[in-house]
Amino acid sequence: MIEQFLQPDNTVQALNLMQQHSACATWFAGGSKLNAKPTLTEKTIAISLDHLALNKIELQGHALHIGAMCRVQSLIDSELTPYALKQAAKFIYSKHLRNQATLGGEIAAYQDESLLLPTLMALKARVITANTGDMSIEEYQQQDHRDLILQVVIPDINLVCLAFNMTRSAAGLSIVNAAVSLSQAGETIIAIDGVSPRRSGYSIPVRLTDIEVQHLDEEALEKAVAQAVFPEADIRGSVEYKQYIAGILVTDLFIECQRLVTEVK
Amino acid sequence: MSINLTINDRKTVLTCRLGENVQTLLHKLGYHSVRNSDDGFGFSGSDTILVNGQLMNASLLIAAQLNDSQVYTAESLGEWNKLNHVQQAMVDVGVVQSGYNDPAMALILTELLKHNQNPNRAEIDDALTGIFSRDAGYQQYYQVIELAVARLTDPDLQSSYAPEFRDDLSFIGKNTPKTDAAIMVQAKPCYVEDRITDSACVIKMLRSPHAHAWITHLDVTKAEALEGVVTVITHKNCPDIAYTPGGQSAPEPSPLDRRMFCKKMRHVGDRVAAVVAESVEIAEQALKLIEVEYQVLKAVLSIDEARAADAPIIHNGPIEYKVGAPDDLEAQNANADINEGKFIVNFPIGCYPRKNIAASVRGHIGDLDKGFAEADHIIERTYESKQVQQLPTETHICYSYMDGDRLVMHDSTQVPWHVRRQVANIIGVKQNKVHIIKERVGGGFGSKQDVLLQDVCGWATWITGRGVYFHYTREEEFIANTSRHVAKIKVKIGAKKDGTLTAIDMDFLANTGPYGNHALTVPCNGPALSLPLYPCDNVDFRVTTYYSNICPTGAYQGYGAPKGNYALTMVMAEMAAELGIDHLDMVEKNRVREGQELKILGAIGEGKMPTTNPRALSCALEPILKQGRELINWDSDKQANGDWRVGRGVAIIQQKSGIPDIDQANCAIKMASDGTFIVHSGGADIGTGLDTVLLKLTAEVLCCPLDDITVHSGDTDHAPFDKGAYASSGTCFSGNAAKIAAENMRTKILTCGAEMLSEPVEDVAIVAPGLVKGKNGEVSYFDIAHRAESGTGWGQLLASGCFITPLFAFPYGANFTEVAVNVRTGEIKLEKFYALLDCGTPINPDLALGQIYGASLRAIGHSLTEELIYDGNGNPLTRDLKRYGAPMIGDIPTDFRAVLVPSDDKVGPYGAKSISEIGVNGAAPAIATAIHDACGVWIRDWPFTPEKVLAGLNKL
Repeated sequence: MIEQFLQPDNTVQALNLMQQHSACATWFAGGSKLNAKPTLTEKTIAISLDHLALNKIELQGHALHIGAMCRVQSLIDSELTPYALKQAAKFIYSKHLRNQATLGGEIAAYQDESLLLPTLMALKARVITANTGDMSIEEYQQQDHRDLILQVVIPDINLVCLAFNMTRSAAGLSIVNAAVSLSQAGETIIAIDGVSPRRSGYSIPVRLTDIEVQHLDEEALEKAVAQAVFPEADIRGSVEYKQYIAGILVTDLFIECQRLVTEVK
Repeated sequence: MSINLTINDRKTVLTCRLGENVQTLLHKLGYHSVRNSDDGFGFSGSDTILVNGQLMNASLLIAAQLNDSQVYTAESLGEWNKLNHVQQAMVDVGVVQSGYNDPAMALILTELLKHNQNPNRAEIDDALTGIFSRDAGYQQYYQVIELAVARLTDPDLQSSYAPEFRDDLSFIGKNTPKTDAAIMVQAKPCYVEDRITDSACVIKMLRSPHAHAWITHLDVTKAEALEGVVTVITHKNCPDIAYTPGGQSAPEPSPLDRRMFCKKMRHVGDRVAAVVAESVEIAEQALKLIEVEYQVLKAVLSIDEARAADAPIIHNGPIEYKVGAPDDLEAQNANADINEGKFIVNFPIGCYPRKNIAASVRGHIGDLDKGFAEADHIIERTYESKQVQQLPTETHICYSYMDGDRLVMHDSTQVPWHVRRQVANIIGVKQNKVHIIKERVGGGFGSKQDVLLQDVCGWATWITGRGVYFHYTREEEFIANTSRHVAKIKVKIGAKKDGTLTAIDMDFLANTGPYGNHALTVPCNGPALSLPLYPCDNVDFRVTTYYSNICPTGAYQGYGAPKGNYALTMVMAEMAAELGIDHLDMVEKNRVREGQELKILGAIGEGKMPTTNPRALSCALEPILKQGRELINWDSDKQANGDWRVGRGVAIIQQKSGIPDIDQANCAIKMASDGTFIVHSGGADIGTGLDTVLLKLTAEVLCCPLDDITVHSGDTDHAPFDKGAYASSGTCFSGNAAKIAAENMRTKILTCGAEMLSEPVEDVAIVAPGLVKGKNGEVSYFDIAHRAESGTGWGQLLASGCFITPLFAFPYGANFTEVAVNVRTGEIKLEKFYALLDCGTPINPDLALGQIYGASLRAIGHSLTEELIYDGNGNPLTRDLKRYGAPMIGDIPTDFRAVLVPSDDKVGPYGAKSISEIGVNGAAPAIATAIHDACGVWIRDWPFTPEKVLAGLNKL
């Protein structure tokens, strides 16, 4: 149980506190995961990020800078948030959870399903961390110890991007969660969650970089995606189903992105 | 530590640990609205509070987060005895049923309307994403919002959202607020959890991690030594009484096949040891100190595994029969193992435990061979239904304490009298020493028909003298509650070219799991509630229920009907397709007619055979099918849209209104000193509005205002016997008992009134509001009561009523559906769901509609998203609401309608029949046949998933 709740006023203080208490301390954002039964923290010291002023959403040129403490619901409510990220934010079904969960927390937490990450990856989002600076979502996910996130930067809010989360019930487990972006220059990003082996039970979304550069037609893209993913059979569905539906979702998103890019042109 | 905050506009300082869970903290402080329904999974929203203007789940917050914050709970809404506009609209629309989540719902809706006074459907749906409505099915909340919005500009607006019936009656058929709706929506204390005192001890149960195992070593000494542990109960120190958890008529038609604790574990979640401690934390620590070792046995998970020749035997204890022992009993007991505990059968139910058969029965009419010989076409199919859970928002709970030498138990139960009988038997006392008080029940749906906690809780109090409560976690609901039986049904039917059925052969196999509660009666109702829908001269059915090591099953709304009806409707639809006949036309051709004799029901009993063949004394299927066909445009074209294909389906349904010749209900009425009435009913209102039904029936008979009657029900000390809330018996049985009691009271009032008026009794009549009127004058109930209690009076007016019947009152109905199926992704969208039901005279039309919506959505959930899933060792993988696939507002049909189509029944009070269960019986076949109509795929097992659609389309 959390016994101490520390509330530093700035990042330096926060980092110092973490250094002092690292063995028994945890960063504490909204608390929707640290306090939840299935992911309840065993740490005794919470270092709250509430007073670090990390909750702004700002447009700088075409880049959107989002503070790590922005609540997921505030992404939906903000006029500045790209459509795809709003879509992905709603993949967290409960509005109550969206009111509590933060963008930084969604990226940093080890989760059973990564509902926002494929979209952030497709949007080429960068993570600004307190210690190691700027990195991609994929790089951040690969870190052994996930660093404190200060900000998330979406470099181009005009990038055409769409996402889809396949579930069996409205609030049910994500089966496959895919996001695709397509630039005016034809650069494609495909990110997908739910179809790769888990790491210690946690979901690891992946990019299909080989396929992104192949410029395949509809049927070939479906097959290529299905063959490129390695899901596990579980209560969500069989391996064959997940492979098939991954191909379908990515292809449908890609076709729709192509249409939108054409419209913009 | 101190936390400074404002709660409901009052500055408060909390002294607590910083990491304390906010739901627990607020509930302890007396904010009853902040409830726990999912143990901190953030799914059900029972714990919704407003923190600094944002709705959140209290159980996902810790105390430290509330420092300097402004918190509002549902207690902030309205004023003392004055509801706010949203709460009032909830009561007026009739959406409050079991009510457990309704305070949270009121808070959410109030907050929505504060920021958006004209929300559209998408905005409403988004606002309600954080709250689970298992009882009401969400649909009526759109009306609540409409009414609440309208009242913002016109506070006095009265608007009706349900039709009314029976112009000849004053209260029956009219929309009346549910008697307990206001206290529920305001979160006033009314549930068991609201009664628990601070000094009460808690029970936490150590449960088996293995599906099938022997306990080889059990040492609880370290746990017992922990300070704050009061006692630990195990198989070594519990009563040696065999019983069935099934809360059914006595003697039960279920094998008495369990003991409070056994050495043998028969499912993951089976009881190992109960720690009784002074706090949850201590109890949980103590659980970790219990040393236990197991010898793991091979688990039996499926019907096929259970019936295999070399299957492990689940129950090998010595078998005893109370009556009707079979001739080969000694042979059956040849290798019995006393370590398994006694296995007692009250009377023959086709129980063969060494073959893993808990119960079996066969029935038949006519000549099956002749029937098939007469057929032009014969098909045979097998359909399977999966194990699904009732998911009451209030998890199982009871609280017991001693009052002198008596055990008092506050219980969330459907069957107070069965609980009293079972608890008294298990702890070894006579029934007068046990007092069961049924509190408001936060959802039952059949799961609270069984004795799942009360035996341990009562025993713990009895041996320690301490107040003790036992409150299931959500995980325990999934692994240690009852659930719907798994069924595998082979049906063979023969039909003429024109679709006329000539023969039906149904082989109904069920998987009861570790214990046989309802093992005979639930599966029996598969054929009993489906075959009579299509009367046929040549019918044979067999029912066999197998033991296994899946988690327990038992009663679930609909009993066996959803499974039997799924199989029979599907095979009919498949036959219609092969014959080239419209399915609805084939249903119309073969369906039951009003007045028809139901020969097959003469061959099915629930522990007792009917004395004569039942008849469909009332049946509105003709107008229902006509209206449904028109509503859904059954005969219109279905346009494909891209990859989406449209299909329509139908299923007719029936239920009972109690069990003739088995069930009984009683009621007593007394006149208070001012001419008002106290009604003491044995009936158990579990959120369905039974108390309101009793109130209205009494008022109708006695011609007095509703406000002059108070109903006290479900209390074994203060009300007469009633079988309880199951078998859809409330309105017909408990209602008729109240009506008879009121009629007897009316007779007494007339006699006394006539004497006071000095007129012959035949010249006086009761008239509203509460008067006896003669030819020459009138006298009020007040005057009669005053005279009755005077020194020269007749004594307080008391009357009672008892209802039994040999007759059935069948409610009927139909579900019409329209689905869109994506042939590329397999997705299924439920575009239209119309439930048309004949419950005779609807006594509370708005509440009846709510019952239909809730039942329909539960059945839609079973059909499309819900499923208990196990790994290969019998370990359940679906232990929370999300993994299980509990339906939320985003899962309701786009166009969702409930329609009441009345009939006049001769058995029920004022022509009323049941409404509570029938609504779950038709969704599965109506949706499955629509899926076939859309994409040509027959899905023959629940749930209907996109993966199964794709497999059917050969895309996987």
